Order: sequence, then C-alpha cells, then structure tokens
Amino acid sequence: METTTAEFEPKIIAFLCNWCTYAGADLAGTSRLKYPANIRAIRLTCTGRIEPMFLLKAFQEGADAVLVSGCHPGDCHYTSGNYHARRRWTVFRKLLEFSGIDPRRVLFSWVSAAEGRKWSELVAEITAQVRALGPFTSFERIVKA
Amino acid sequence: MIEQLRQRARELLGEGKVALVIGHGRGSSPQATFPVFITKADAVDRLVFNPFCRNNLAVYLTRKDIMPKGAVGLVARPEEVRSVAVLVQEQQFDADRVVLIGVACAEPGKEGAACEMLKGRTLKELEAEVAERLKGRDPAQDVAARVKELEAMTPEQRLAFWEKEFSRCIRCYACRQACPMCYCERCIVEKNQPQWIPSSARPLGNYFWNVIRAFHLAGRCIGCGACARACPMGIPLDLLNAKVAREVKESFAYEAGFDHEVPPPMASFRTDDEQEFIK
Repeated sequence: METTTAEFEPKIIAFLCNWCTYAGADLAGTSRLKYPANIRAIRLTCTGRIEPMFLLKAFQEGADAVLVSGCHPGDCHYTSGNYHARRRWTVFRKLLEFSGIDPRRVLFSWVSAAEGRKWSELVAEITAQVRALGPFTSFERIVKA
Repeated sequence: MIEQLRQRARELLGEGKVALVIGHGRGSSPQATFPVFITKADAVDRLVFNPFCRNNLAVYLTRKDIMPKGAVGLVARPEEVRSVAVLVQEQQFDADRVVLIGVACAEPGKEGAACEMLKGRTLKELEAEVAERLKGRDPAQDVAARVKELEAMTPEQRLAFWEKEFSRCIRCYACRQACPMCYCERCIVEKNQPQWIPSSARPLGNYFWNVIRAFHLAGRCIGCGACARACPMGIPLDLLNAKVAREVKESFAYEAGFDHEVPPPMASFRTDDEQEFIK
C-alpha cells in the first residue's frame, strides 16, 4: 500500500514477558517517557512461552520487525524460562537469517520492570533502525503469493 | 561380513532375545535396498548390507504399529547408532529395548566401498566407536560447502533462493516420515486451532513448514540426510539441517547422537550461554 505520509511508519510486534519488560514498558508510560507508537505489545507470561511460530505469524500479519523482550538472566519469575528462551533464539534467529529474513528485523532485549528509560530508548532506537530498513516487502511477496 | 551380520540376527531371534530384527533387504537391484522386518531366525538370509543401504531404519523404533512388546534388533550404521542415542536421550524408549547390530561402510553411497561390522555391542560402546570413526572427517563436506555459499549471499538473495526451492514443495511430508526425530503424535503442521502453518502447498505455508521443521530438529538432527533423499521434489533440506546443527555446535559445543546420557541442548541451558545478540 502506498503511504501518504512522507515517512514510512514501521509496525513492530513486541512479545513481552509479563513480569519484566511489560512492567518496564508500563513504567515508561507512568513516568511520562515518550517513545514511538510503532510498537504493538503482546503480553505473555514469559519469554520461555514465546513460540518461534509467533514470530513467523507476526511477519505473516505484516510486521516489519519483531521484538522479543523479557527478564534479565537470573531474574526470571519462573527461574529459568529466559535461559531456555535464550538458547531457542540463539538458534532460531540464525535459521531465520539463513532462510532469508534480515536479522535486523528480528530483535531481542532484556528490559527489567525498573528499566522504563531503557525501554523508551530501545523502542526509539529500533524504530529508527527499522524505519531506515523500509517496509518488509520481500516477505509480503511470499504472504500474498 | 554379511554372514556375520546374518549370524548375529539368527542368534538374537533364535535365542529369543529380540522379537524382530529390522534391517536392509535386497530390492529390484543391489543399488535399491529397502527395509525388511524379520521375525523368524530362518529368514535372516533376506538381510543384505552394502554402501547403498541409506534408509535410516531408526525411524521405525517409535512406530507403535510396528514395534512388538519385546526388544528389537536393529541393523545400525553410524546414522542409526546416533539416531537411537537421541531417541533414548529423549526418553522415547529405554536403551535395552533396542539391540544394535553395528555396521558401517567406508564410503556410503559409493559402489564397491568396503563394509564391516562395528565392534561395540552396547549403545555406549557404539557411540564411542562411531565418534572415533567420524573424528577428523566430515561426511557431509559438500553440504557444509553449500551452506557457506548461501551464507555469503544477502538475506534478499537467500529469501529468493528458498522461495524458489520451496515453491516445488507439494507438502507430502515425506521428509517428516523419513526422519527418526519426527515422532510427534500430533505435528505442528496438523494443529489447526489456530492454523499455525497454512496447509495448502502455497508459498507461505511451504516457507513456514520447511523452516519450522528444521528448527524442531535443532540439537537433534544427526545429519543422515534421509529427509532430503526422501523429498520427491529435490528440495535441499539437508542444507537447513546442517546450518542449524552447525549453529548448535558453535554456540553450545554440542553435536547430536554421541551421548545419550547428557541433557538435550534445547532442553537445557548454561547461565553463561552467549547473548551478544540481545540488547
């Protein structure tokens, strides 16, 4: 679809863990910190709950990038969910890269419930990065074929 | 060599140590072998073994319609030994359910290559023997080289490459059927609430299926290549598997199928695992 505004506004789907990053994003809000509205947050119990299929589905639905964010190592509400997730993403992002998905569109972060500022800065940074990449038209081609 | 193999099978069946021996049988030509299932000691002459025996017979070990109650004898090349190691590691059955009859060829797939019996009897012994045999030589060098070629491309070029390869996929799932590690009773591709992977042979579903299939083999695929050989459309599935296996090796210093006693890499972790990609 043609964008009517001069600048392309990327859609970034963020899969956030309930206990850290979602709370961190909430803190950013209550602290009145501004960040781009390009993030669509999906709250899940834990990064360990995030299925690789969720990321692919986000791209199917038109995401220009995906972000997975959760508790820092050692801080998982379920003790080890983020450690398992870390192994999963270590492999899956390499497989996606090998399968033709630009790794700059598949992003990961640890943001704690106290890091509202880190969250707002992170979102600003990745939004700018994805905006520079432009819309993910090559995947759209597969979706619509 | 073949007489030794038949003798082992004859003894196992004759002494009642196993109820069934799964091995390779002669097809329409020496190059075409197919799996045979032998339950009687006087039928062991049906067994053959040559460099063209390429089916991964471990695929039958999780088939409830084939497996008898008792133990099973399995003609096991290095590929089967490693597959069994992963299946036991994943607790699909106890190690003593399968009596391995170890065999190996110097150069699988090459006419006239010498074949021999492996010395090990237990899974542990055979794992060590197979590791020793494979040391210093990569049986899939050509695959590794093609993986490197793809890695040198841009993401756009790779997407175009896979788009073209996957466009031939007819979603027959022969890759899944041929793989010993694809034993899920309900595969993700059959889950339809929601329909994670579109089921028709269209670009998106084909992409999802082939990528997720490879990911589900992370830290589990032993690289036998049965999926790629089974594919009627010639899709190079072994490239995806090899890429994932190499990442697992580089990141977690782990190779599948050499030790059934350690935890599977994707079901375990170290607190100091790499994370430089996480902001």
